[in-house]
Amino acid sequence: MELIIDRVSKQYKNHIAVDRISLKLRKGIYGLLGENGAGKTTLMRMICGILKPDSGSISFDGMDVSEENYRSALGYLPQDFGYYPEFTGLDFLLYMASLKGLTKPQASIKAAEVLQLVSLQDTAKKKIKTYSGGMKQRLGIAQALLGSPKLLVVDEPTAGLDPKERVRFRSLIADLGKKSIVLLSTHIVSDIEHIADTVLIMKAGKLIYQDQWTESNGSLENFYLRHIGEADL
Amino acid sequence: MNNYGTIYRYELKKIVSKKIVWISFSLGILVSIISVFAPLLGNYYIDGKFIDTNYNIYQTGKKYALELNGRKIDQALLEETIAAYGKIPQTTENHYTTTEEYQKFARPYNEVFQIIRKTAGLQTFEAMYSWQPDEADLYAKRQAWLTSRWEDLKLSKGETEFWSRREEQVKKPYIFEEHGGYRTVFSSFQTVGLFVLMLTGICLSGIFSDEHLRKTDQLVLACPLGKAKLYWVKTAAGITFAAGSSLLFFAAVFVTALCLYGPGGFQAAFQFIYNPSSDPITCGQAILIAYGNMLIATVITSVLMMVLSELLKSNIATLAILVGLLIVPLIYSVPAQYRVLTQIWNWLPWAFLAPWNVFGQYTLPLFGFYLTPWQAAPLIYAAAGAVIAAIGRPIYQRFQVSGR
Repeated sequence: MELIIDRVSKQYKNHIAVDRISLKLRKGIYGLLGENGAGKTTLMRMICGILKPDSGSISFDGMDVSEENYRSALGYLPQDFGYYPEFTGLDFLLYMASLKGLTKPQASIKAAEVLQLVSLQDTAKKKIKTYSGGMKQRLGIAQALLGSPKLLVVDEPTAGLDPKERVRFRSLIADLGKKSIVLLSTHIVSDIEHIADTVLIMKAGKLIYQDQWTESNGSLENFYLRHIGEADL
Repeated sequence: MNNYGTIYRYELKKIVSKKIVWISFSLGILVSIISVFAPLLGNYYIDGKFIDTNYNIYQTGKKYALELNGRKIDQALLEETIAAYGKIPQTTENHYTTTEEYQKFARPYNEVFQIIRKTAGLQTFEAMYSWQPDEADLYAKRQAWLTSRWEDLKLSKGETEFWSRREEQVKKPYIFEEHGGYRTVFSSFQTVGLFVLMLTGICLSGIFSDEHLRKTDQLVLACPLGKAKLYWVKTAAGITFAAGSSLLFFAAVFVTALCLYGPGGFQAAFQFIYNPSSDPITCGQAILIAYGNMLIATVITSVLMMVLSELLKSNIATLAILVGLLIVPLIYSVPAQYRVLTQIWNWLPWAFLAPWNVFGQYTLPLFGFYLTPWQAAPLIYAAAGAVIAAIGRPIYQRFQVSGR
């Protein structure tokens, strides 16, 4: 199981959003840190095949990002996304499951499973427009987990979650990291401090740090601030 | 393949779950039905004097029409009709329908009288009184009127010959059959068609753009079936909705009209409700043909709306284009001397809602055959719809989620 990102770049007019990033990700949790505008979301969109790089290539186990099979292995939670307000939570998951190629019986089983995981089983038949922000975020997480993705890309996943839900989410991600590649982007250092096997730091479109992280390395927050040049602030 | 059905059902659910769909749908159906029974409401006045209620007038006319059912419009009936109308005093001071003679002698023949006037082109009473009833002359006058009309329309020699052959197949003498229900449905077609297209625009203008506006595009595009396959399923759902809407609107008008005005007239000559036609078909066949053409015009317009929805990524802009497309043919027409332009203009799907375009005389010559508008347009629309849908696919598939 290997995600290969090879010299990937993306430029918007005069602004280089992602600048020749190369990475090889294997099973485990990768915490991607960076300020707003560092290029995290752009990189994640390219990994998910919804934004085409200007140059470079992305492949997963030999499958190019543009292939349908690649997307079969993918679970994606975007940073800012919408819902179909008239759908119930269950409808939404069954719809997403069908788009992921799951058959009806598979979809029903997986939907029930992920609803349990994000504690939405009791509200599954309520319309999404009645959900709170945190519930919507959990539903987003649930849809990303449908189809047991081998590659899970989550962009600012804890936004809108209360402290209890965040702890629960971290433990969920920690479990998933044992059998999949999880790439988690955030600007909240504590989200990944205790669960990421590898920390990646982006600044101005470049990957400026990439290494394994253990608690013996000290405070990740201080380390991160030092790297993005704000330690003196 | 199983999950395509699931995706399709959810795509349909996305369309029909919007409040605006139900509001515009209910209003559209209501107005269409009202337009059918509105002529029966109110009273009929001449010079401010109450004559009768419109409903009574209609009922009386229908009763007389039913008495003429099955009669050939031949020499005998022509003579009876002209004799009955000849009893009306030739005065210009009063409207002839208010005279006792009209009510007593002529009114029972009113339906046939109107057919004779249209068939022979007898526009004035003077012309009517001076005409000697003659079956051969009646249909000869019609032929002369048609020939002159075809010249005005700049039809080619081949087309004129084609329509002459079609005219020969129209069964004569006509056999009268009461056809009030079918006449009402026929005259409602353009209104109903406009409602259907407007509803289609309102409901489908967001089918793709809503995904971008709601930011659900990034979720679906990252799914294995979220690109090419979802595009076709969405298109199929939109087409189903458009076709279903047109069927419901048509059914509402058809059932209402036949309940109010009577179910008779399926076998009546089409020329009773559209005199310029030389199609050898019945009123019932004409209504089915007109509906079939409205259906396919709705489908191609829906495909265009969906592609515009993806291209413009804006419901309002898509809807604005549709409103423009619907209004322009109502305001402007191309003069008949620009034959090709006129034909293209009249055959545009949103102009083709008008029955006089569906049953017009311009044809499409093809391998020595001539296709009438209602034969040619569905073929053209099907091909154009497939091309437009195919153009939309790469636009959707290549969409890049950026800059949010």
